[in-house]
Amino acid sequence: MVLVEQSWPIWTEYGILPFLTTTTWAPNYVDPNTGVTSVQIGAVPMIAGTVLSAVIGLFVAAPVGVLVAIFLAEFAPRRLSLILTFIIELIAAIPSVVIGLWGLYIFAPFVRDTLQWYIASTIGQVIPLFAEDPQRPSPFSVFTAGMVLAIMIMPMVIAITREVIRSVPLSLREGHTGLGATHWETIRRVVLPTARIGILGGIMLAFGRAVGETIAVTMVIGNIDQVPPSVFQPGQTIASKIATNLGDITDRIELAGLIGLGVVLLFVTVTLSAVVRVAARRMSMSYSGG
Amino acid sequence: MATSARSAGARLLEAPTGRERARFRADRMIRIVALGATLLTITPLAAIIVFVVARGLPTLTISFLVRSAGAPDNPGALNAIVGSLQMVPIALVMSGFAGLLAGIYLAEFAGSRVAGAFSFIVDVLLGVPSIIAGLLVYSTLVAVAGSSALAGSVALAVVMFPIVIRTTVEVLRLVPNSLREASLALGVSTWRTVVSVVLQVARAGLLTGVMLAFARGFGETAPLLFTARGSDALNIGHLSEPMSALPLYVYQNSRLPSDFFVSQAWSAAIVLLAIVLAINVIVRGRSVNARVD
Repeated sequence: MVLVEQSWPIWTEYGILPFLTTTTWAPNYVDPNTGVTSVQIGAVPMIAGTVLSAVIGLFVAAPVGVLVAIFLAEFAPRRLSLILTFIIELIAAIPSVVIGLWGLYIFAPFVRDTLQWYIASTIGQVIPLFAEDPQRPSPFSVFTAGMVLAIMIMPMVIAITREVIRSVPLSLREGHTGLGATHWETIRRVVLPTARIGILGGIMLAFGRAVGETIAVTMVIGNIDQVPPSVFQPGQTIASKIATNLGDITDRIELAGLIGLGVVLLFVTVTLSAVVRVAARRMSMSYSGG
Repeated sequence: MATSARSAGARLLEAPTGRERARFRADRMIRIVALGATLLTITPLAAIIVFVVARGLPTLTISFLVRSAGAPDNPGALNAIVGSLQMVPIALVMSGFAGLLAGIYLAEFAGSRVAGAFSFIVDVLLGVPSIIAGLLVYSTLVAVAGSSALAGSVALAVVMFPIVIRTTVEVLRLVPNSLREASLALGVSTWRTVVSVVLQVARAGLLTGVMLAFARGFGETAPLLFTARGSDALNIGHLSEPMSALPLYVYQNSRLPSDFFVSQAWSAAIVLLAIVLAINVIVRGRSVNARVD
């Protein structure tokens, strides 16, 4: 409520539509051709950076996380599974500023010289979204941010998927195994289809986490207010824009714009988790009712 | 099919056909791939610990721990350590008691409708990014009174509050109903049952929740950025002034264009990581041991 009120000028004076469609962020924007000064406060670069980095993070974390959850819930001996679960919980406990520091100095250059180079020199030759700047490939990019996010949301994907897989009734598995299926066939044909909705919910919650992660992303994304022409270029997310700029801003309309970004972020994350929880509640009700 | 005519016993004794071999191979493959994915997932933890220690240890000296960043010679991180040790406990006091009471109410007293509605709200709050907490306090407290350690504590408390409620509710749900019923059957009132029976049984679990909230608050940077804001001077007890904290110190130093300050960020990261992981290992490790044995 307070945030909406404080960001009021951006919605009323500047307008919701311009705010959500303008691609530059400059309160004193000087047009290079005409020399006219105007106010340009657009959320598009931040929204693009947020969505791109979170989607990249999810693309890595979802398949790997589900595989790890399958390993923990199905294949690993109980003792090993508990120990590994404990270690993975510890990853979630690492302060994000420490992950950011490591990302900034160790992981980002590593990603640039390995994964980024590899993808840019193969897929990147065809699709511009995956091309890198050949003169000075930057370690700080939307892609690096996505990789850091993948590490950070992995524990969440694993924990939720593991729980959902475990809750698949034993009788269903036994029915399949009893007919001669191998363990993997049972997982693929019975366990995963049954757990599908729950896994999807977990992935959506992880997406919400990725969208809102601030410090680690701020440290590796490069902090340039542009709609990234490629995932290997620096960008900005909503959260990183707020983190880097709020505090040294006095311009009234720009401040309102920053808080407006916060409102957008709050709206997206609340909607995501509300949808998942409501769906989960419906599901568990229909289970117990049936 | 010819096989269906034979008895199951005889079928088991035969060598596997090519198709069966392929199925078994797929089964083995997926085990290896899943194991690989698991190893890949825990690699960053090892890498982070190794690099933080390797980079930070050389500058982690006694003077780093006993001198403030504002000191004229041999600056250290004392201001940040002392700042964290003030702001986080204050935040814990604010969020801990309220969170415990709210959790106890939701688990023990509220009707199922009210409890359902509130636990939904708590779940949604848990999904709200911590920078929003910072933004909220910034646009209320800080807008009126300027940045201060107290504003930082309030922002941390906003982050920790739903965590305490959630773990409290979960722990209290684990207390067997038979215990409550036994107490009630003896004629003990509901609240007395909660205080003398349920809370006694759940004590260790409740402490776990509070400790985890503490560790979480200790590692948070985003809520402090524009509330406590950080300060190079050692600030003890002046809650209306800006104050540093370990995560804030790491963040701010990492952005300075100086190898010395960056290496100090690594040293502070060792201290931060050690404290946060120690709390987590102690608290969670106990419950893992309990499950293994």
